[in-house]
Amino acid sequence: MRKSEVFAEARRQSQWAIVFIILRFVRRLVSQLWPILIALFLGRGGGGTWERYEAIASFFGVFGMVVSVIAYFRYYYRVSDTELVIRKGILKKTKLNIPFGRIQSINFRQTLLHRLLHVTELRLETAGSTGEETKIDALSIPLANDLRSLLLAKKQEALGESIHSSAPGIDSTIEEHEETILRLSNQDLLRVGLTRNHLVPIGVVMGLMFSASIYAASFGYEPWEFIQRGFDLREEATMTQLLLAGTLIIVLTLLASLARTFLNYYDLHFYRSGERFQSIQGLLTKKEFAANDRKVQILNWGQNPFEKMLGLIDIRFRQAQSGDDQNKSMRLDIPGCDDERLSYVQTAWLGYTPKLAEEKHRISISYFYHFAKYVIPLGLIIIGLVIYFGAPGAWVPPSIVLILLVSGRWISFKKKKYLWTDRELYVGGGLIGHRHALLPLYKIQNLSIVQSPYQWRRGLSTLLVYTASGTIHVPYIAIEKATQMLDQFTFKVETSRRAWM
Amino acid sequence: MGDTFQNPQVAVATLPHISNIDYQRLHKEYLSTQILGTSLFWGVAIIGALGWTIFNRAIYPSWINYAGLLLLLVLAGLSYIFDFALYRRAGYALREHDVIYREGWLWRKVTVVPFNRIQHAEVTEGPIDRLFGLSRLHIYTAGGSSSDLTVPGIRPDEGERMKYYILNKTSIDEEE
Repeated sequence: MRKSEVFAEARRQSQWAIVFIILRFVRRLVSQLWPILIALFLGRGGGGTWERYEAIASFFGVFGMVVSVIAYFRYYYRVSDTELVIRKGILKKTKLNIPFGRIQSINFRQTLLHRLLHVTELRLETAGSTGEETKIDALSIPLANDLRSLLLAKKQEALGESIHSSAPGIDSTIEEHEETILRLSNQDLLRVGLTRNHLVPIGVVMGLMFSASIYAASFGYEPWEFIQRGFDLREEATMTQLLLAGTLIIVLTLLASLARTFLNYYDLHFYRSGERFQSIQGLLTKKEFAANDRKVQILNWGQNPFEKMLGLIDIRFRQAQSGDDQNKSMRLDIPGCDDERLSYVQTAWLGYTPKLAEEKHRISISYFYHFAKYVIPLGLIIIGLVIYFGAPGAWVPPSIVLILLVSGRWISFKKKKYLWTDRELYVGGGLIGHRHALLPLYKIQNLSIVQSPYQWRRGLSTLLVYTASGTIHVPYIAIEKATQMLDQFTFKVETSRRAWM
Repeated sequence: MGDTFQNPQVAVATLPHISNIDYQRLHKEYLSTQILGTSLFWGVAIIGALGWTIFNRAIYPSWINYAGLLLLLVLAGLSYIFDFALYRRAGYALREHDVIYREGWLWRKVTVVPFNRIQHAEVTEGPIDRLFGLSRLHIYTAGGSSSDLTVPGIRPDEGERMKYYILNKTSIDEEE
């Protein structure tokens, strides 16, 4: 049977979808009713009649089961001549019509459960003001593959583009040319894991240790006692204790970073397929991410100091989205790349090699002075007050904060650089590491020049470049330069015939 | 997308320049709406302060009360000056391919929205606007809510005409 015929009739999902519907029901119930659930749980301890709570719980359980099963039987999908049609809903019936041309990308996502049941979730990203993602909970893998290739072929047909020079028929599988850009072996993952940004995990680890020690202390147990006893130095042991605690924190943080890296990026395969970048990754949940060239508005890349030592680069594709929140499923982050892969990605995305090697422009040093002029006197006043009124030694923390603030501003001034050609804008910066952003000018939505009183008195300004996936700031540049850039960019946007998405 | 991509060089000096723009001022009634708003706000604050002063006369020495009132009056006066200055600097301009809006007095901002990036445009009238026969033109792009443009202080018919001009331009640009 031809693929289009298979999906022409309304079909249900795989039976396993019931499991996922039930899970979702439970999750929603818990996330909405958790205060009540906690109250019930505590109420039970307080001598409430157990039977009643049991009855309520089993009522919800049975109700949820029934609803989920009905929901499963009420869910149909069908591929018509022009669109994908999904009907669902128990009381409120919904009919979703997704014209093929509106489909942006089709991704699979497999949690551990999906993999055990040999099914996959199918996610459809569509262009449009709703920006909603449509998903089919569970499809058997061969069926999902067929559906995807059918939808992609129909999409190409709808857009009136030949798939490739050979232009295969709708029912033949699209053999899009795939080019591997990066594969991460376990050894690569280890390097990536060790060079991740550890600030988040270090916070988590310290928070966990802190709450664990409070928890332990509430049971009359002194958690650091074993360290003290181990050295049997008591009071003199503070330095050793600190060292031990520090080592423990570092080891735990590294482990946490490694675990996170392996969970997210295990077996990462990053490749170029047709006009999009794609990746498959994940240890327990196998996820697919796709970024269409058209949909990507800004290309970010960066290095923290650890990554710089090993020559690793993170690449992030920022895709257009409706709404202001950065939807996580829309973000394609690839760690562990290098210069060669970065320039491959840039060239493939833009269709040409950007000229980024040229001398870049610096921003005005007023960016630093204006900050220092207010922060240093203010900081000195605070330090003076602390010295005068505070305990001895209390001036150390505010002094450190002041030094960090001022030197941080200086570093970010030194790193902030920008460059524009007649086709693209580049802005680089960073505090601890380096962050870079690149966008082709025709993807700009609109532009602003803003000036604070300080800035316009000195002929300076900040240029804001708005795109469909975030705003790029070029701060503290001469107003003449900002207007020149604005004129040139608007000219480019207004004369470009390329669709920004 | 059948046409070949062309990329002729353009001399930067010949580009249309944003500095040479005659901005269209907003209608005088817009200043009135702002002054009304300011008066309502400071009126309530000053009446509140007066009431508070009268009821707490016994507790605080009178010079504190007078100083407080004076401060409020000064702030209110400054707000009026602000209204005036903001009104004088606010202005919009329609060009062949974009719409420009200038706003702000101490903190200044000029925004350019090319027609071929506009998602949609609408004209709204709030209750105070309607009282003064005004409306606002909202212009939305895909650049996020912080980049959307609102031109206040225009007549409803002007708003509608501008909207149709813009939407017409938008569709022409798309056909090209």
